[in-house]
Amino acid sequence: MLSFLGPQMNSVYNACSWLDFAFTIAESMGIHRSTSSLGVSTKDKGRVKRLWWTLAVRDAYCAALLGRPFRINIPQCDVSMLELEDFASEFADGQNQDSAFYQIEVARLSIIARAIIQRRFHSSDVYVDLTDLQEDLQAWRSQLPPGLTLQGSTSNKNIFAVSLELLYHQHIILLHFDRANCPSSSSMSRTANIASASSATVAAQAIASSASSLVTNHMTSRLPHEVFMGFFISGIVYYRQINSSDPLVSQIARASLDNCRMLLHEARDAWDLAHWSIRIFDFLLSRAQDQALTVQAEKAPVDDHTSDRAASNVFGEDISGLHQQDLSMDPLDFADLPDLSIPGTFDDFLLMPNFFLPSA
Amino acid sequence: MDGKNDCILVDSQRGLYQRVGRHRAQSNRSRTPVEAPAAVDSGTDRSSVLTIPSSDGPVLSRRLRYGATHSDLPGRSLAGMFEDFVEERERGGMGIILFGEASPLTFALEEHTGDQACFYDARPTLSSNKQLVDRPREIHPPHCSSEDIAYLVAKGAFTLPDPQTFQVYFDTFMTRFYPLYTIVNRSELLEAHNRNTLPWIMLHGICLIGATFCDASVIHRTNYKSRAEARQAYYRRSIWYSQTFKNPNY
Repeated sequence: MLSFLGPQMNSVYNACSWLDFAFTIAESMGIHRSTSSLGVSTKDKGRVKRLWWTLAVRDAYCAALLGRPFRINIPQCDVSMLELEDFASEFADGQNQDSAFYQIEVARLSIIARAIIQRRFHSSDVYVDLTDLQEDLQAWRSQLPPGLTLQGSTSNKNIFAVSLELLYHQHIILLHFDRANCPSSSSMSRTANIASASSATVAAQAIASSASSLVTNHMTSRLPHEVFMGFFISGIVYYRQINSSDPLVSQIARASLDNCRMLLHEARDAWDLAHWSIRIFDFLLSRAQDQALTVQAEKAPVDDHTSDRAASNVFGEDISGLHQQDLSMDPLDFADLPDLSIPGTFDDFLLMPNFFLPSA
Repeated sequence: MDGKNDCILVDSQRGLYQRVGRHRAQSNRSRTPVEAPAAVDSGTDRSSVLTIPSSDGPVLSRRLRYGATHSDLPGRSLAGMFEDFVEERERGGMGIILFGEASPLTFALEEHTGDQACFYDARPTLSSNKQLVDRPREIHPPHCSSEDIAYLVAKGAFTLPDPQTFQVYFDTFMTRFYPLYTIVNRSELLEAHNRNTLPWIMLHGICLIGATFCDASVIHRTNYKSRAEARQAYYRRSIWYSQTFKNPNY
């Protein structure tokens, strides 16, 4: 539970070390082995399996977000996958089965997530083909219980259905994210690269478009923390498109990026890394604006009308004189909102994976 | 063996069982799923390049490894018998816990072939923790000195929010966190809560989670300026407590 604060990686006690403590204790109790289920009651068997897979899920998404190695080596652990009977003692009355199905599906998805993340390290012995992983994701999604899909759910406020949908799209983005860094990318056909970028954009669109409804329906504080990374990486996808030569694409990308920033801002006090995510985008956008100013100054004198429209970004910097196109899309000014204090230190940022710097 | 008349000798199956996920390391990413034992009904028979652990497969593998189901087991595990032999159990255990991992310690103990004992009996460790319900919160661990307790009191590690706020945090834990991360037994937690016997580390954890997942209006009713400040306060109390006591059972 203590891993839900931080990461505060400059401290001995941080999200990763709390998970480490939990893994160490769990291993000391034998929870990582199927043998541990031997002899314990059904209720206790279910409890230890739920505990183990919760740790495994947290480990997977902690590694995905921070770029750290996995703490749990799944092939060395032979705990069987969660199933409905592991929740029998908790939801004996048949109520809240969605909760059980949700956790089962997230555990299954975390296995795919591990393969996607391992693919980033380009290790030959764990490298899984992109097409195979995409098929796995689609198969996982197609096998979701009807009540856990947005199509099958009776309400678009079903937190489990919404979370699984967000997680699916988040994985699609992660899968197609680092094609520029992938050693095989140079040999990839242009068509494949375009298709990959398109898949990431469609997934980012699905995530960004959900932001406003989540905020207006006050669902942000109810979301599992694993989904917040999706808004961060969707923002990165859209940041890359802001510099598109097509003004329409650029403007839509900026609006969608602001959608993601809006949700991250809403979640910032519950999910601490949102602070850094917001500041990263602020930094990149301010740099892009500086570059635009430089280009404009080289091309023509600054237009007086434009320079009169003084404005400031979230850092309080004077951004008057921006290109007319930039000013027509006022960014969300989160500095107007209270409490932008950031927990942790800059070390936290340095420990985040290199999601998008190559393209920045 | 050990007064058990129904013990029989079996051949060791060490190294013969199939470990889950081994095929994942193969460079040729064949999409052929792991060949599961015929008797296994995994219930998750998706054809996938990834090995998502099945529900029963590893258990069957382990049975091959140990050659017994629980109903067949004698009263003492091999590791337990060894602890008895070195007379360490009464003194709090050896500090080495053996689950039959592929280690020299295991290999040495497995040279004992006198009966069909499982290697390690997890029941005492993993069974429901009655202490959670029965132990009064005021009783601190025996290894904790009065100076440690005075230090924790001064740091506020034994401070809780007012009862109304804590109840909101507890309700938030049960209604928002628990359905997403069902890591506790609901009935045991509720009983311990009703009897005021929840351990301090659990109380602070519940406060942290409650402050993380609750509505903003709850935080506004506290003395904290923001959700982040409240979470930090509860987190610090957890750290002070765990640093001093270093025992997850307290």
